[in-house]
Amino acid sequence: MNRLPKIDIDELRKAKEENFKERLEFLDSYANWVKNTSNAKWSSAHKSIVNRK
Amino acid sequence: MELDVSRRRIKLDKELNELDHLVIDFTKILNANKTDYVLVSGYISILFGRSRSSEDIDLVVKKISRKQFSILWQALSEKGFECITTDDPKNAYDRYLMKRSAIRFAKEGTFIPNMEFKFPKTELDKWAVAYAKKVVLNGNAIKISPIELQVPFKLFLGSEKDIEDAKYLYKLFKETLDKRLLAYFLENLDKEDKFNKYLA
Repeated sequence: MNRLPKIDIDELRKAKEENFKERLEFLDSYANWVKNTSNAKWSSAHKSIVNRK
Repeated sequence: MELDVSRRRIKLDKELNELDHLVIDFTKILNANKTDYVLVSGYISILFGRSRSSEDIDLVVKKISRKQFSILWQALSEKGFECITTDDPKNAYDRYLMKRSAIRFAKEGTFIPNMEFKFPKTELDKWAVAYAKKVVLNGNAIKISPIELQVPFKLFLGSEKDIEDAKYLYKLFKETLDKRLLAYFLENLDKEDKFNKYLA
């Protein structure tokens, strides 16, 4: 059996929180982009994401 | 984003996606049958451009009688919607809706996306139906839960996806929100700390 890694739950929680904060920062900039972009342009890009299965 | 926001309605013209078409088609039938409703949860952030999709659209429908429900069921069937939870309207009404469970409608022959249809379960559900915000989407009137409730309620639900939805909606609408109403819901849902941590 391979040597198994040590699992540090606090370390994982911290990484999860950091990833989440990065996504929130991205959302902030994405919301800014949508606010400052014409409906025709953002909704065309958005449609391709929503319709993707 | 060209968004025309007033106290009574939000006007939005955009390229419609598959979920928008489903909502417009379904709510037209509700309107034609004088059935009051409100769209809640994830679709609201998607409607305004959040870059994610969803398998279902949550809908709270003001309680109607079994007879009214049968008429609505018939109208939905005639317009190409089928209930994917049960094929018996009496069963749908008695064993699901009246027992606080949801039923789902999809376009015939499909399973997703679908409309999750339920009667109000809480006072907040009833409030959202009563004070729904009208959105005129490419000329079609639909009704959504007020953003002042959606943001705190998404924080209350609390998953990462929910908090992201709350942040996105708040960022888009913060200049136009009724701050007192937002503060009321934040305080009473006990989400002021989360709001300050992630959204402010």
